[in-house]
Amino acid sequence: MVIEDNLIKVDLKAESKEEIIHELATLAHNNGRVLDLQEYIRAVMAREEEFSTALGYLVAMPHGQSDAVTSPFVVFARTSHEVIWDENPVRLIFMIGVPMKNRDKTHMKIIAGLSKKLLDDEFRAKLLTATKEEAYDMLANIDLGGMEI
Amino acid sequence: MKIVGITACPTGIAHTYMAQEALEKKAKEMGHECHIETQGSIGVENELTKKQIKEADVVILAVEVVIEGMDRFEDKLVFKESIAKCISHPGEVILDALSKVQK
Repeated sequence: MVIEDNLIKVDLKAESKEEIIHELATLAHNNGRVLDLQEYIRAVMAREEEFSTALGYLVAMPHGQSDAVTSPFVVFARTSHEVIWDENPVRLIFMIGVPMKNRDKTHMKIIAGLSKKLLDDEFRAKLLTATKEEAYDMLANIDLGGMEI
Repeated sequence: MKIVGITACPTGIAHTYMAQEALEKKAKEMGHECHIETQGSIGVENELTKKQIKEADVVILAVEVVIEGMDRFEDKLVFKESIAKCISHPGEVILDALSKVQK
């Protein structure tokens, strides 16, 4: 599965972008989604340097494409207070991992569908107060609407 | 007004789709018709029809990679913007694009 309950953390205490990326990458690694932790972190940081993934809405979507990733995944974390990520405040972090090869199209559509859903104000408001179980239900049941699967 | 466009970010994983949603949603709120094609990790989605392109007042291109089918816009008014701005400030992008249209 792209989204798993053990890849969700609703009480993240980290204080900086680097700390958040490190902590969430470690969570993915401990759950077998990332083989080489340092390689994956390098890929995520390289992407951030090219293009900050925090673009408002209190959301950041850091992502790393790397062969250190076993299969596409999304880690969701919510910080207890706002953290400044480059120039923007964030509280909802969706860290994406995608292998360079062997991508499953359905998995990529789930990630695309989630990205669109994050523009929905009500959806984000709910995520800001959801319990871990509620967050899992919301993220695992994203309606892919018009997207052809 | 009628707007069409294409979004395509360097990895095509997330922001291509966020930008599409941001533009389509904001345009609708502002009372415009808007169709955005995405060229990302899952290929071309929501492909623009000939009719949509023909009727469009302006084409918004938020593309940071080489895209397919640029020849479709040869005779059209094209407005380019960054993916980041389309996500953060979709309303401004739409106003800027529409301001180029000859009244």
